[in-house]
Amino acid sequence: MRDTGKTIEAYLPLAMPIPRMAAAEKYLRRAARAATPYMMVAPAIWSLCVFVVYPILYMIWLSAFRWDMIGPKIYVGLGNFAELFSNPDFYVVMGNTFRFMFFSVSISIVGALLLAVYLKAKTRTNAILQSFIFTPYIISMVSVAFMWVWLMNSEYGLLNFILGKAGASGVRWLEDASVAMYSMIIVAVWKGLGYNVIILISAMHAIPNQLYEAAALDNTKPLKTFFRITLPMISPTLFFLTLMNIIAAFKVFEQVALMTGGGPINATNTLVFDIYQFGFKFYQLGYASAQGVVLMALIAVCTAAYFGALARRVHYGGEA
Amino acid sequence: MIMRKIFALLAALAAIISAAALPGPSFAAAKPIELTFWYSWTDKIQENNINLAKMFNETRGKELNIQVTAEYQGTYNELHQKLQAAFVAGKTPSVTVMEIASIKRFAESGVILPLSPYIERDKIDMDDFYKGLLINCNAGGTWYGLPYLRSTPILYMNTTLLEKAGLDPSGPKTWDELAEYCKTVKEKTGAYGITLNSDVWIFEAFMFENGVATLTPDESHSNINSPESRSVFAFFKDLVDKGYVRCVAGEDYGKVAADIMNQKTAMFFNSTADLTYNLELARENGYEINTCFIPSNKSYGVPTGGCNLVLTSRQTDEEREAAWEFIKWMTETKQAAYAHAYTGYVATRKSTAASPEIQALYKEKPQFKVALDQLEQYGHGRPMNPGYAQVIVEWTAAMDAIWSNGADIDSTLAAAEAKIVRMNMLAAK
Repeated sequence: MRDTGKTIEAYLPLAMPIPRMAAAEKYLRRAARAATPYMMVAPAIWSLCVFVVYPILYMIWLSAFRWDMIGPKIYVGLGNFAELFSNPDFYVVMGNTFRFMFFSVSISIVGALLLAVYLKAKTRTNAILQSFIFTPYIISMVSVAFMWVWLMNSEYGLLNFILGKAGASGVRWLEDASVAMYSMIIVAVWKGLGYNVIILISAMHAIPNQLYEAAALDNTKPLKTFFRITLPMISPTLFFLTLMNIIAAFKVFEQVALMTGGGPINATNTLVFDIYQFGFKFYQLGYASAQGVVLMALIAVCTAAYFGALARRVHYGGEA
Repeated sequence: MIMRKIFALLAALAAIISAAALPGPSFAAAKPIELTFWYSWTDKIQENNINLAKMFNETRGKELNIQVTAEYQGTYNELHQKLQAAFVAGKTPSVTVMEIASIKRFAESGVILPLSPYIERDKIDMDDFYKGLLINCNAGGTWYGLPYLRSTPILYMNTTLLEKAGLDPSGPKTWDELAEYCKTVKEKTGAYGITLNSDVWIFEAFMFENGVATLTPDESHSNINSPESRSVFAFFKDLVDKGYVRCVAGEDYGKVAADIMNQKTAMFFNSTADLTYNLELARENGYEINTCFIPSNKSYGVPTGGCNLVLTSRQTDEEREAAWEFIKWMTETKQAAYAHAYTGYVATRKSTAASPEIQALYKEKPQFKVALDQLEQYGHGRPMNPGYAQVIVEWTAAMDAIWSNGADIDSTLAAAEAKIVRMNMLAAK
């Protein structure tokens, strides 16, 4: 908001001039005026508490119990965490989650950056290409999953058909345990790439043209222009995008549930899918909540680490 | 002054609204008892549920002043989740279908009511139901459900392909013959003998045919690493390795269905519930379908599946009575016949199978009778231990590993068994 020199009271409805008031009334008026902003944010705060804060606290509380959702809750203290950390499967699941996160985010961000540079010029062709590349993002995950399950079908799928025509042997995309996770990454990148490209292009368009003109006058090589001007100028956006991509990747669920159900042999079982499985298939709500706490901590730590490591090197524009 | 006017206006408005919203007491007496009935699955099964509820409302429901609304709730698993959430929230449907293996869990936690008092009072002839179907209606000696849409797995055969391969379309009788069939089909037609997905319910049948169940009789241990289980895994692995059988990973049946439609497989295992669907599919795609018992190894044997009707606890006595009337009507001979013919789920009652319309159906479409004969002679129950859901996931993973990822049988099964023990999956919780 731009500073107009007025205080917040200037906008408040109660700040009408009222002639001749008793001291007590004056005090009440002032109290009401002080309370007004809180009343205004109250609905937002209320919904935040009900839909965010309360569920988080409830999850943390639940992680100390053994509960099947309909029977009595049995207090086990940190028992669920002990069970979780001593379960070898948990490390398989964490490995899957990190692998998915690392590959899908790095390919998606680097790919988006390259495509954004390629497509940033404001031409009609680029506008069409941009809308093409953005389309997967707005398609529902259910449709995307069904389409890719068909594309990746080892007997009838288009991908293996093309490979067959090219003389290569088919890949069992979703059935071979050593391949399945990479197939999931391909789909995730395909779906998320367009969004990243569009955001990066708009960030690039926001860079003042004088910088490029100056660079052109100095005969700067394109690569140097990119690393010295474009990249630093879009770094706040890039930073934000990467963070959002990481968090989204940690939370991957629909794709797993719809395409593989965590299989084959646990190869695509990620943390959130495992939470679902323990919570709503095995009815071990306490154990699932403990996993939920781990996920929350993980995202919090990653976010903090990311900010700590990169925040100082990000160019936020303006002075400083 | 202005404030007073606004208040007066508000008060008037409130009076109008409340007058409109509250029904007069004269209407209350004629108001029917409204019940909600939850069901799973779409297509033929959904139509069957909606039609039956409608028929009830028009006949018995009209007499007794009961109106039932049927509501779709997804798969069995999704329905169970919603039922629990509804129970915690205090508002459950009056009647719901319930997957047979889950009855015990919901009975023990008080979500559903014992039906024994009603059954005794109204003198329901339980002996008229097939014995194999009643095992999973009972928990701790008390009836909690009546058999509704029940099924068994059977072997479906594309007889067009079998005849092309010069095989007897009445189907294989033993596992040796089954292996022979697979080999001949592959060699003569190029199609797979069987396409199989990692479905533990089907595996339960394979285990029964070798004389054991997937769990020990007291349900405290799994038989995944037993000699019987190893021999089942080895039998199909051998056929897969030779290229006669295709195993697709995962519980998802879609990939099997694709092979069936494209006539890439001559045989497949599936629930009788899909019989009508499979017959229509065959007609549309130009091939013939026959069914037969799942071939015998040491003996024949199949699990039963599907759902029972249960009565929920959180409702008034009046609603309970009305809900029981609905359950009773739905499971009567005539309605059981309707559901059987409409979907392919088995006839739940002997009197249903003996009724003239069903006898006529069997003459016209003998495929319907196969499942009934199999059930009558060789039907078993399913494990009801709540931890079985977790064992199923392990079992599925073992099938994925051995059949479609080439893993070693002995080490995979030993590891699976060790994990089931280590995680106390079957311990009383």
